[in-house]
Formats: sequence, C-alpha cells, structure tokens
Amino acid sequence: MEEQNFIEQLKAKKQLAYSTLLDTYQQKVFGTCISFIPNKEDAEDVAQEVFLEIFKSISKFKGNSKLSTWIYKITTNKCLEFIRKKNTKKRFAFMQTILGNEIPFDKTNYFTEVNHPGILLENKEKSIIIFKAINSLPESQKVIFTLAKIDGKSYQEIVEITGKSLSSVESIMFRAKKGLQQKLENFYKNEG
Amino acid sequence: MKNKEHINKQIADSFKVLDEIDRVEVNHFFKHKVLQKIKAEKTINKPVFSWFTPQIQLATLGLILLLNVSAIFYAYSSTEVSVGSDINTFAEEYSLKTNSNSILN
Repeated sequence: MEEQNFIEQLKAKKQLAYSTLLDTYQQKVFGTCISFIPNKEDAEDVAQEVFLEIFKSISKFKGNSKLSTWIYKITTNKCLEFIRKKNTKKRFAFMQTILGNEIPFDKTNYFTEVNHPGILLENKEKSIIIFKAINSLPESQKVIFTLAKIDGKSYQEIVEITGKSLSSVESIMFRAKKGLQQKLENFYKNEG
Repeated sequence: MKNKEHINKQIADSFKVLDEIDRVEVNHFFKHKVLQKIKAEKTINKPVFSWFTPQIQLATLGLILLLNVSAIFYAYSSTEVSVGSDINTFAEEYSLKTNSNSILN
C-alpha cells in the first residue's frame, strides 16, 4: 500500500518522491550499471539515463511487478542498449580502418576502456580478459551471468528481472559458465 | 600436462577476479545532477495538448460522427418531404394539377 502511494507520487512528478527514489536506488542502479559497463563515467551516464527513463515512463508502470524489479529491468535494458551502440561504433571504426580512413581503432576490441575503481590494479589485466569474454557471450547469457556473478543478484531476483523461469535461469547460467571457460581456455592456449 | 594445469589456473584466477571486485560508491553529485536533469525535462516537456487525452480524443471523434450521422439523416428525411411538396407546387404553378377525375383532361 505504501509502495502504491509512493508510485502515485512519482506519477504526479513530485520532486520529493524523486529525491527519495534517488536516495533508495542510486547506489543499486549504479552498481548494476558498473557491473555491465566497467567504466565509472560511462556507468554513471547510463545510470542517469535510467532515472530519466523512470521519470518519463512511470505513467506506463502498471504495477504488475515490484517497483524495484521494473527499475532493474530498465537498468538492464539501458546497459545493453549502451553496449550495443558502442559495439556498433567499434565495428564501424574497424570498417573505416579497413577502408583506409584514418580513425584510431582501439585494439582491445572492447566497447569501453576498463576503468573500474573496484578492481585491484594487479587484477586489471585479467579483468579486461574476462570482461571481454563476457561481452562475447550471447545476450541472455551475458545478462544472467553479469547479474548473478558481478552484480550479486540472487536467482530469484534474476527470475523477476528477466521474466524467465528459475530452471531456465539456472540452465542459461550453466551454459554461460561453460562458454566462458571455453573462451578463456582458447585465449590462454593461443597466448601461451 | 603442466601447460594444461597452468591454463586451468589462469582460468580459475580470471573467474576469481570477479569475486574480488570491490563495491564502487556513486558520485556524491549524482543525485543533484539527476534532479537537475529531471527539472529540465519537466520544463521542456510540457505538451500544449496534454489535456487532450486519448479518452477525450475518442469521445470527440464519437461526437463528430454522431453529428455527421444526424445531419445526414436530417437532410435525407427533409428532402423526401420537400420533393413531394415541390412536385405539387410545380404542378400548381404550371396548371398541371386538376381536381376533376375526367379522363379527357
């Protein structure tokens, strides 16, 4: 009932309601964003976009799920949208280099520069490798693995966010781990 | 064999990195920035016809249709009456109307 009242206040675009919303969710939304996008500046930009999207779309929120679930859905979609856009730009830049145009191409082939203040310096190299491997997974695997292993969400929360069944989430998670294992093995074999 | 072991260790270490990521605090000015953006959005997006909701749009369309239908009905029914009366007037005007029942007239 209290949440319903809070949602009504958000729908009425009350400043105080948005202030409370930010107090409650800014850290959680940012946490999810930086799990998908390991770059503090980019993650913050996307987190800002998430709150703007909430402001714009709250009138469409029917209350079929919890407010937090709805917010995490928007966060996940915004992160994926950002990654897709950046990957497209990278591909375009790569095509430009092939065609001979002088556009600098980042050789890491990752959509952003890994700049995660939570990663220890000695782990930086390894983190770049594993983030690259995660990014190359199919989207559903990437989402579920990131939410579970990096953002630390429970399987139940992931079920609510993705709308998939628990068994489906478990199976996708298993495939994601296996896929990553394979990718890392290939990488280290070629490297060594 | 040793190489395989080494690779497995590297893979395990890579996975371990994910468990060692520390929590990153959001920027202190984040809330302020978002509230400013929301405020700006509020002033920009004040549509002129925001009161003209889909329900009102539908009601208006229904009203217009009703007016049209009633106008067509009215025009149709009044034409029928006037056609009959017009013929009588026309016949009187040109002396074509007679009251006798003679077949010679």
